[in-house]
Amino acid sequence: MNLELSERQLILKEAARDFFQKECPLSVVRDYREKGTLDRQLWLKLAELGWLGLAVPEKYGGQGSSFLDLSVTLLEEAGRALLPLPIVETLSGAISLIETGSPDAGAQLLPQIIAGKALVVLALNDEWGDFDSRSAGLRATLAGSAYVLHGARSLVPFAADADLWITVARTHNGTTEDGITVFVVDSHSPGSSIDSHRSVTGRSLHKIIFDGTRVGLDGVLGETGKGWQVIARAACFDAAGRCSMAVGSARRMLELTLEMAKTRVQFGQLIGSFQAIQHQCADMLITVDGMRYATYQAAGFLGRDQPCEKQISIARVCCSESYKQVAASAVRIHGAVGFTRDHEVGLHFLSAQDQELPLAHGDFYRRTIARELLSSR
Amino acid sequence: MLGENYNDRLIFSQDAESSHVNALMADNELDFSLTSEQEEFRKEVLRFVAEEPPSSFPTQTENECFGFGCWSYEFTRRVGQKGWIGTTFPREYGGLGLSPVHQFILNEEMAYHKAPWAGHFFAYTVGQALTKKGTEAQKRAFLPRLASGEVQFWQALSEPDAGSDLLNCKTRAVAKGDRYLITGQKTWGSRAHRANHAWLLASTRPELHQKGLSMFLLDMKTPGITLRPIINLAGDASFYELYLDSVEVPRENLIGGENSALQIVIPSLEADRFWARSARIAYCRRVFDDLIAWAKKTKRNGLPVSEDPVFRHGLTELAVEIEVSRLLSLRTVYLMASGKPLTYEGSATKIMADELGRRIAQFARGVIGPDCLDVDVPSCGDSEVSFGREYVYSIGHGLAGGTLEIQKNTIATRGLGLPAMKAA
Repeated sequence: MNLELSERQLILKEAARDFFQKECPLSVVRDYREKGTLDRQLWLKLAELGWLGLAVPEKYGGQGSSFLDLSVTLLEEAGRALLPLPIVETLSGAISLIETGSPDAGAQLLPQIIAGKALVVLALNDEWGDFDSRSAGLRATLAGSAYVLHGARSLVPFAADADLWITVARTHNGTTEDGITVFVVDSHSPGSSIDSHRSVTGRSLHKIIFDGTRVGLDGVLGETGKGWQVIARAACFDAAGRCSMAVGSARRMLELTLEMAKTRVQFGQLIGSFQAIQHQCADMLITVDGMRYATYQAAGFLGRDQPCEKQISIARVCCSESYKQVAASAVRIHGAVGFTRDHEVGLHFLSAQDQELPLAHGDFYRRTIARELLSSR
Repeated sequence: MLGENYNDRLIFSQDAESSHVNALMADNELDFSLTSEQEEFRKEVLRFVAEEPPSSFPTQTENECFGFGCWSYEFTRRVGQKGWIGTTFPREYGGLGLSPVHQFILNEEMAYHKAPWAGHFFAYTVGQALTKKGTEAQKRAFLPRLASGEVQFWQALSEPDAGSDLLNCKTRAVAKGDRYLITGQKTWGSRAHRANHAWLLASTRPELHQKGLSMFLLDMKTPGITLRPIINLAGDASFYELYLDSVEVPRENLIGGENSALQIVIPSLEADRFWARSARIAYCRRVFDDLIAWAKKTKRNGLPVSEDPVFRHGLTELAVEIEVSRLLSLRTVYLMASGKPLTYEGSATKIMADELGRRIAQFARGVIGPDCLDVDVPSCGDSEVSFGREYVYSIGHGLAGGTLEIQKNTIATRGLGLPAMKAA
């Protein structure tokens, strides 16, 4: 058993923290939230440092580190910095390309992704926000040498900025896991459009409408009709990646809260000396620790290629709920200043609300856990 | 920054016994898995539990649902014979010299298999304290007999006016030649009527308050001792009042020298917070698994309970809580095995364990229905778990060994460095 970061991981983590502190100040975070301006230059800088290829095998031009390395270093620090870039989406998309074992897709797209030239997002949810193997909402029909897509995918983060969308569509009739195909779609494909709305947090929620979008056969990832395994795996990496970002952000909220508790004076005392505040902070610490270790376990299993549906689901449910709890406590302890968009803690709170929606809300993972526990053994 | 252990800059160190190399593992990878040697130890414990079923041993108290089961003199002696009471004691004093990880594995399996080990769960704490603070003579006199199960302790710490404020201890120990005469009252002593020794906190220099407290090993056969049972809310006489009337304790039974109890009792409380509950989470896991088994074979309105979406939802919430609690208790063991001091981790795991226990019992009661209120009916099929009892006891757990509020104070002050309140 080893529960400590290695020297190598610590060095990378510190480097990532310093980089984001310098290159992703709150102004960048606010710009994206208020104006929707994605900082492509920042993305290229990440690419230059080789960080986009951190967990990509060396044979594709990456650094060959483990997913756990990526999780505890880059992703946690990106979460702490509230990085407004599709880092989790691109990296889990990249990994899914690798996982399909289709060398053409890998050889072509991965170097572009690692070089920062292709932003990738996963477009998987139906209009209810569900993600499952019924894959309702998007159909793909073979017409000659291309597939034609009809339907929509909702809640796609960064859809408007992405170069590539990785999506799933039903190609064969049925309601089970058979008959689903994964497609890589160029975001400029004719017949596709984006319908955007602002959420209460200020972020844009994008729905991609596919109205006769044509995707060539080379846009199929893996085998036709056998896409569920591929996309479920990508979803695991996405889930674990989101957990890591949540951990980084939650820890930062705890730090900010302690700073407030140790400096704010009311009634002649530091507010951190009042039991009500102390007990909330204690609860926050336990909650953050829970998030950390659940995520470490999930990321470790994933990176070592061990079966981990249950561990991923547990981490995702834990982090999803805990992130919101920590955010609520953090805002409360800050008092009214926490309830503004001026203060950093408020931005983390909004992020906690945002993170729930993409890919799958907690119920998908809860159902997975229940299935694992209650299936006949 | 955030408190002693709560930062990224943990110096990498590796437990000397963890030389296991996993071909799938990258170097220095964060990993919860145990070494193959530790897994072998777990298998040995499982073999023992299979060959000598814990339920076949006689018991002398009720199960207080802590995870260490009932008191059983017979089981304690048997485990002592196997060397598994003094798992972590130094070999030269009758122990196995193994790491806290082994102790943890043992506790988990004992709890999961509902073993009656209440008679020796406290031996770890006493053993640790004696190993660190005891004289050579004390170690030789007590450790081997503790390891064999011959000597069994109860904790004589709390008093009517010294509950959460434990160090407000008024029981008085007056030196008289080669003895101390001890007079006073202790309360909330769990299973005091079964133990043959007390781990006793008394004041040797009242004018020094906390700094004038001393730790004694008290033989319960000494004249001048009276025990009175207290009936708890579950209807059991699980704890006792102790009256001491000029009880003579030899000087050899004073630990660590006069007025040094602070250095002994504080670390032992911190450790005990973890060890008293290290099994609770595994016991909760057992209870949870029993509940699942019951739900699969019990039908309500034609459907197995396990198919009911409301049941499934509640179950998954608990599954997440159990897993996270388990990971945090592994984290605590890891720190202990690495020789690192705990600041808040023991308190954190105690809170999780107590809350988890309460929530499982609460959930199960709702699912099982009226049967769980009946004292005589095992309310979960073959498992003999009475969730009504579990729930009532879980409220007590949140008070025993330091209340939840005290745990949170510790986490806030020692773990997060939050300031103490200024006097008005």
